[in-house]
Amino acid sequence: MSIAQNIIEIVKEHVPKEANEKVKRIRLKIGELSGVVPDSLLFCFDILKNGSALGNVSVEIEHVPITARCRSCDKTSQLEYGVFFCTSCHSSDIELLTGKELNIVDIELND
Amino acid sequence: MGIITIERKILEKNDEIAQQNRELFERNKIFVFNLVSSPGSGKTSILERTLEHLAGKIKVAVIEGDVQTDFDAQRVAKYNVPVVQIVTHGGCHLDAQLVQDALNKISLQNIQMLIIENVGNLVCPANYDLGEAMKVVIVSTTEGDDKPLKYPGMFLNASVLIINKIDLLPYVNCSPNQLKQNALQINPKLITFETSCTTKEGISEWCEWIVRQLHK
Repeated sequence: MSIAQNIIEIVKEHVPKEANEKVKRIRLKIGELSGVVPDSLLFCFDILKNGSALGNVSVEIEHVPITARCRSCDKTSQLEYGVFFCTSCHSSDIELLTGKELNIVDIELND
Repeated sequence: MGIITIERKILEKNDEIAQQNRELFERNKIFVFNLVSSPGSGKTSILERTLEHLAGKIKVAVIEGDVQTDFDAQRVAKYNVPVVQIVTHGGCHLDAQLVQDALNKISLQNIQMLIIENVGNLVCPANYDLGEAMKVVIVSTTEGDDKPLKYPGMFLNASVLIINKIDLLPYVNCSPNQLKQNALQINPKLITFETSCTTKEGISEWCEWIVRQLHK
């Protein structure tokens, strides 16, 4: 719920008050390791938006997979959730590149 | 149709306040750790045993986070340390602002260590930086050895793993070695301890380690 609240606050910071009703879409990037369940976030967002001027907004979520660079063989691989070793050489000495994202990308306004 | 590009973290505001907290701790030379676990793993019991062990050696203060009640603050107050209770009224984690507000009630010049006991939850507290030096995650043997695989986010962000309630091992289906292996697979840098708050096994090793962190 507080993440949904943060999203609304960020949007309000960037969009002038009189244009709040024109906000059409918010794009988010959510990493697989962010601990955020997109459906729960959308559910909370829907509850909060009804109490604000952002009643017409839809939220689009881009899911970001977990990727890591191996410090042993230098290869980059995409990891399954819960498997934290290099898929090429099986070393666990890896550096996470993506997967922890919890970002707001952009806001689209109607003309 | 206009698009406003933002490209920022949703929790950026929290991170900024956490950074202010961190700078405040550094200025006052206070070592801060954030105790996280599922409900019932023994955060408050570990805290009590730790306070008992450090009494007279290190000046400690405690911030307690709970969804309701000040029961934990009452338990901790018996150890004669400054304690501030944060009641989140339904919130499932502490955030940096709540901690900053609580810090106003502690005289930071008089302490060397601050222990923050987070709300019992292995998901959300992983995302909220409070300004602490490290997160210490507790898993009890009654929870099973697969917890790290189910909640990898928390284990990735933690520096220390305490396996608690090891006195119950004869009665539960949990292998501490498997638990450790699962956790280290996610985060090979985790430092691990095995403790029992009933027999006090492992408590002095854990306490001696945190005292060493003060002098780093």
